[in-house]
Amino acid sequence: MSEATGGPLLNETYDDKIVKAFTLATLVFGLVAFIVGLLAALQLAYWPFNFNLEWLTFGRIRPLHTNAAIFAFAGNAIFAGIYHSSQRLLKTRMFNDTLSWAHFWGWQAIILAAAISLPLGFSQSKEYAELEWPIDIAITVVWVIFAVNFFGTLIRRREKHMYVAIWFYIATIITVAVLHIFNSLEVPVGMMQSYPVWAGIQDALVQWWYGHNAVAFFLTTPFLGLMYYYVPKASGRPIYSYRLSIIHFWALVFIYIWAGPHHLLNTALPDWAQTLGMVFSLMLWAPSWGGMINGLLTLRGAWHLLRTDPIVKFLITAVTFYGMSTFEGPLLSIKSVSSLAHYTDWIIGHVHGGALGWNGFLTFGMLYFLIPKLWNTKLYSMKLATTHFWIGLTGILLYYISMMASGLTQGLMWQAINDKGQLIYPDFVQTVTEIVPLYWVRAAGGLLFIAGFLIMLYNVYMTIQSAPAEEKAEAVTAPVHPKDGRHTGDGGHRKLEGMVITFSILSFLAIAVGSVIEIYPTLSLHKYIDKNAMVEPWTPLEQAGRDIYVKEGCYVCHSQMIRKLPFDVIRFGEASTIEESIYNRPFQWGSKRTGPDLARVGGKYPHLWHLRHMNNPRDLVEASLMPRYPWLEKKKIDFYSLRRKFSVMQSLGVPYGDETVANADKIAEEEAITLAAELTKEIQAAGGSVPENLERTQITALIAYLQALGQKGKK
Amino acid sequence: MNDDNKTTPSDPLLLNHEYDGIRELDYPLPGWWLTTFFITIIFGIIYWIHYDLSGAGPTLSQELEKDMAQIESLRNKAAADAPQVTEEALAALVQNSDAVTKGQAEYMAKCAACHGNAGEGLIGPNLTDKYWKNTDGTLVGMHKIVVHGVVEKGMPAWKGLIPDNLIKNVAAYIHSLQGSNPPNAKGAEGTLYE
Ligand code: HEC
Ligand code: HEC
Repeated sequence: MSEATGGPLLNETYDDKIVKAFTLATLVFGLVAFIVGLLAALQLAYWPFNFNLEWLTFGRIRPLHTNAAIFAFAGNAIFAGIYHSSQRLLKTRMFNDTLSWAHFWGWQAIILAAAISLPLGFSQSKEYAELEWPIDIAITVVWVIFAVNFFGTLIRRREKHMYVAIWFYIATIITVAVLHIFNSLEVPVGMMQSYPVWAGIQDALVQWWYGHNAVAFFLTTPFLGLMYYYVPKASGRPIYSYRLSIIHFWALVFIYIWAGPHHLLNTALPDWAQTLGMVFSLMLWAPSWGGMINGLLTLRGAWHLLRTDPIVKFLITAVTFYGMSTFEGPLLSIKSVSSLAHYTDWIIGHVHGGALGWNGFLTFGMLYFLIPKLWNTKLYSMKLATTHFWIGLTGILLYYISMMASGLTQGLMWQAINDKGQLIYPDFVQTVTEIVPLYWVRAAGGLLFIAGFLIMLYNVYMTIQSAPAEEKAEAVTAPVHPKDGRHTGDGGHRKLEGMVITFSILSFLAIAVGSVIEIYPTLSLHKYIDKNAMVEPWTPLEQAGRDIYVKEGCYVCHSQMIRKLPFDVIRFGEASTIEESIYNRPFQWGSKRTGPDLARVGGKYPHLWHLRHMNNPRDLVEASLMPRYPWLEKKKIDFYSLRRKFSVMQSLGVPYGDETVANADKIAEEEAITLAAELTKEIQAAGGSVPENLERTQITALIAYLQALGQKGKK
Repeated sequence: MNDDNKTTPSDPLLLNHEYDGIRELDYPLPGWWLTTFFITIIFGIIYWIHYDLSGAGPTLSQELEKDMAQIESLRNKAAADAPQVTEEALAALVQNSDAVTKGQAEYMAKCAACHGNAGEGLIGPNLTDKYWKNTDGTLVGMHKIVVHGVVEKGMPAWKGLIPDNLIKNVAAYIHSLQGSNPPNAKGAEGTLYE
């Protein structure tokens, strides 16, 4: 039915080898991501699940889990689906096989680098952008390879118009490139360490512009593209509404990019940016549901498949989860709802409704559909796939409900104030102890999800075993030049669907508007800064301590942002200001309070308290679930690199004098000697034994940093 | 699985293009969906005008200030209503074994990490001797230090963190430790008060 104008016919085979490779990688890394997630879940229920190993502490495992789930599992799934569906939708083989394989191996190498570097503590401690600069560069290169390969395929396509799935792929490729590059602008200060060019509030805004749109353009738009291909393919039904596709695509792409600041509600971020984040999030509700409607109603007239076909079960349940998450998201973006839910497990539940339900189930449905096709055989067992579905679904529901309950419980406990104007639960740990049972339930949910996945692996293995020995590549015959859309009298959007470059430019502009309007004003920070409230930058030893805090990933459990909310202020002290984090590279406002906020912890405890607490938190707070960090008493401070770091900081605009920069290491050494002496006195008075080389070990730098938190603004 | 795409239903809304067997219908946008979309847009604009453009709505800082003032007045009222803490009242608690037991439990939970399980002193000073840095050995003085702390020296202010009644119990419990001479006691700090 496609317009068969345009010259001689060409017969060509599709490259399904690359699809197979991405498919297998999806399965392998899915298993890794899920198991690491389970480990992280268990650690919150019972901290010794980190086996007292530095590499397995929660601060390092959580980034490993999120990166594996997003970039390794979902990433490979997206690539498998895009390589498979694009060739068929565009009636052509991929542009260049070498680029395809460079993309594949490059991406796997990045995953490997992440899997090694994150547990070792090489982290920028910015969520989903933790990977250090050499890996960031590799990601850029591989993404460009992918883009060239994809756009090359578009150019040589032999189908005049681009189907809606392709629109979503285009938006994905363009936007992820923009997000990654801008959020990764950083200056190396070592082989595996860097400081972002953005600081404090700028870094916060750019990070969450990135972070939210990683969800939007890595976990939503590409999966919508996959939905638009695999739901009609698996159900044999036509897409419900072409018109809806157009409207919801453009609305989604234009509006999504604005929503980032909803991660920073009630914080020091200027009010107007928070308002934009909130109202654009609300406006996202309908465009998101446009996708859901189109997915669900495609099944009109074939609802029985939902009962009989496990593939359709997975796909349609995924779309339902998408609908739930995209309703919950705008809800959570309302400032007052956020004041309850932010920093709690509700957000974790929200994310996993999306990740397990939408991304996970859509991937599973797609793979059950794809694998028999790729290996030219039948699925080994439909029944096992159905079993997988039910076990997985139970797992997700347990996960979601327990985290929602945990979030509400903790959020309400944090807020509770009695008629004497006092917190009803002043003791933070009490609000943690309360939710630990729910952490066990969550872990059980995760375990079920994995059990289902193991069944899938078995099913896939048996399927591939039954594949015929010789491979048979699917081929397509199509005219060479059907794509000349300008001359066929198409009008409106239909015409645009024949114009790759114009379409891509428009997509770019759609995401550029919101990005520029939100980020640009924040870069000219002087408007928001109160000159009288400026703070001193970190001293060399404090900065060394801060780098340790960043390396250990303390931000996964601790916020450093007291919101403009009464119960935050009563519990943690005055609301945090923009000025206080103005020199912080990276910003460490955090997004989750498994432990208390640390923005003003400086001076709250004696040095000795911190020494003992970091060595074993349970010595001081019996119910604590914070990991032990005894190795900080052994590892040496890296004084040597401080001069380089300070000169980078100075060049980025931190007001350090030349003297300070030139002597940063010496100054730090002196500070360490002073602090170690104070600490030694406290230890001796308490009758304890003094750890060796206190003035050179990391714990001293970390204590210097902790004691300075919130103290800088005080005159 | 059903990939027999040739059996797509004939529907007047079916468009005449096809991609790899996928057909598209062209149903109109659902009315409730469009309405929702417009409502969120209109709400967004009004919200933005109210809170940002016109400055009519309060800023976050103004709202915080208002809330804090309210809490402050609750606290002032509670302070005015609270009975005076007297030496006699506290001394009576020291004799009340129930109160002392409760105080001990709270001490173990909140204070032992810094003052030792038996009050022998650790990060904070020994609480079992007659030497005091910040108080004069009276029960009222003890109560006061627990309430207000010595924040700059690392002794937290416990007001608001421990309910008022329990603070009294804790003070009574500490007083009961006087002269208990626990092992590993930290050396004397401060002035001797007999
Ligand atoms: C698994 C989550 C987790 C991680 C990771 C974690 N903490 Fe904690 N932290 C907690 C919890 C829970 C508490 C409250 C109980 C306690 O005091 O131990 C806490 C308390 C603290 C406190 C005391 C705060 C107060 O006001 O009483 C400090 C200081 C602290 N953590 C520092 C750190 C540092 C530094 C790191 C990184 C090296 C870190 N934490 C990593 C969970 C965590
Ligand atoms: C974080 C550690 C810490 C905790 C927890 C703590 N204290 Fe203290 N406390 C100190 C320090 C340090 C001092 C000494 C202050 C100074 O040097 O003036 C102190 C001093 C005191 C004093 C005065 C001693 C003197 O010689 O004047 C009393 C009484 C006291 N604490 C009681 C308590 C009680 C009761 C609790 C529990 C509700 C408690 N402390 C919890 C650290 C702590």
